[in-house]
Amino acid sequence: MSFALQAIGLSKTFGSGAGGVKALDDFSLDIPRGGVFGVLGPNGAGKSTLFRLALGLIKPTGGEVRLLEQPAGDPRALRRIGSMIETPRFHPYLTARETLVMLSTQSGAASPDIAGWLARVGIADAADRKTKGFSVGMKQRLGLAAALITRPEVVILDEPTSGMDPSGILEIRALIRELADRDGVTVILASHQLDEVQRVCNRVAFLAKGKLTAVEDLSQTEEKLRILATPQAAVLDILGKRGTADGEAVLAAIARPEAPDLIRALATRGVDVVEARWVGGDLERAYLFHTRS
Amino acid sequence: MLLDALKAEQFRLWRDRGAVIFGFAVPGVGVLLLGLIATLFMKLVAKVPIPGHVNLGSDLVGALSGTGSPITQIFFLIGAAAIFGTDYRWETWRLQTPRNSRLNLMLAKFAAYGAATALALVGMGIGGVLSGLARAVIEAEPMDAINFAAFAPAFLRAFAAGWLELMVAGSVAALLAVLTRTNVAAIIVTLLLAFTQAIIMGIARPDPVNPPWDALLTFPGLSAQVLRGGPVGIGGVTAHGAEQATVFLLLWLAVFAGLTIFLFQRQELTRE
Ligand SMILES: Nc1ncnc2c1ncn2[C@@H]1O[C@H](COP(=O)(O)OP(=O)(O)OP(=O)(O)O)[C@@H](O)[C@H]1O
Ligand SMILES: [Mg+2]
Repeated sequence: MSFALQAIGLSKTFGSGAGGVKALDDFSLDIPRGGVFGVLGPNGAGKSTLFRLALGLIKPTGGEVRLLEQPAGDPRALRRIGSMIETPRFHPYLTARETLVMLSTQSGAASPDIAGWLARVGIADAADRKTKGFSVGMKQRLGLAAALITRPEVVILDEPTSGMDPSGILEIRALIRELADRDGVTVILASHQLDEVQRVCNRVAFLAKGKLTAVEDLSQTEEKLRILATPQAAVLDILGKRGTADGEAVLAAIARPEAPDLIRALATRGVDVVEARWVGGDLERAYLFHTRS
Repeated sequence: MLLDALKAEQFRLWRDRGAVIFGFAVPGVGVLLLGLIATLFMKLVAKVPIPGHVNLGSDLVGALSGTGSPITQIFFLIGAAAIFGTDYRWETWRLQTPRNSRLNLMLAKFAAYGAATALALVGMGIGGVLSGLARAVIEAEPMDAINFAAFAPAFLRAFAAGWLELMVAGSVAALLAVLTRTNVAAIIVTLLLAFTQAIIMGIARPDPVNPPWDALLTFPGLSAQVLRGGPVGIGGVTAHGAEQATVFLLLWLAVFAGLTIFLFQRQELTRE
């Protein structure tokens, strides 16, 4: 198996002495190539620090991080990856198009499809506007184009949809899946949006306080219908083995087409359905479980 | 790889209009305006003619000698700080350091500053010539024919001295921009150093015709003066030690540029 990113006993401490912050603490993780790999964890868990180390922006205090099996910061490996770390910032005096020209030139990219990428991330209309006036979401979109303009084999996206409007989130989600499925790009995605992660990621790693707490395969956890209804016992009875209690609610392991029949059956049995919604498999609970202090 | 970085940096700098105008266009325009104002003042207010014929060759060389003044240097420092500090200011290093080596990115900045400085010197030269022409028109003064045999070496020396002196100042600003990650500190501290140098040179008064080598090494400003041929008005005597002065200026440039690159390669870009 070949790896997109490997962390081996990686540590990073900011500051020193009593005031030092251990952002990563003897952290080890292998991210294989292929598919979409999610990196989850609460604020301050060390996700961005991991990416900054991999990109050679900062140096580890201990251990090692490798990108495409090369040591971090190796310019040849870096040229095969694209990245967007936190909210991207740009030179305000350049337009979106000029920003991409400059960045792709710096990468030595031969004939980059600048207009194509501006359109694909949905800012073709603003291509010739200076980035000074861009909204957060527009910067986010331009940052994605900047990460992808060199047609990288691996792309690291740190909260790519934070600050984006709902339709933007859907577009980017589709784009990420397309990158992985059609273009064969390995996507490493940090996000706080669990339903997004649930939909696009194949595997996820959970981080808490600079440590890896778990890695899960998401193709195995499927989405469930969370039903809040009274009496709960009746719902469990109807679902049989496919139902599990979740607090006052019930998680139903059923496929989407079965939902109308189930709700009709509940109604005929006199069950009062207060709420029924699809939840991201076990990810929410797995998240809380693995990142709890 | 280096070529990619060079092209990208030139592309970026050219579009940073504020830096281009204030850093590198104002010196040339300033020379022209100051020349015009001086001529008009003498004619309209003081009502005495400026002595001597118009000589475009010495106007040009004189304009280039303006680089020795800390006032002129302010503009170049603004330009240098804009070039070396822009990616700290806008937090854009993280977009760029994964695309090319840090060595190349920094070399590209020095090259961009060097090219912009050379163009600005050309602008100052043109400003000097234009102000000479304006004086010829305003005062109806005849123009001396240019003696190319004497003019060419004086021009080359003034150009080289000005460029090297500004490169040294720019590399100090570069080092400070990387060290402090702020443009303002880079400009102010370099400027203070330039003024300090001018003051100490004024006190120490090294022999302008035969300056001792340690004075040349200590003061890049003195080296530039010697390379230019000596301070204006030492009566046609050319100062000795131009070769030494050139070597010392290059040495200073190498030291500051080298330190800048050394520091940048090891720098943690935690926010940028
Ligand atoms: N430059 C820095 N100086 C000091 N501490 C830092 C610095 N960068 C990060 N840290 C600390 O390191 C820890 C990890 O930060 P990091 O940015 O990696 O978290 P994160 O998982 O990306 O969080 P978020 O979800 O909020 O983006 C935090 O405690 C943070 O305060
Ligand atoms: Mg983060």
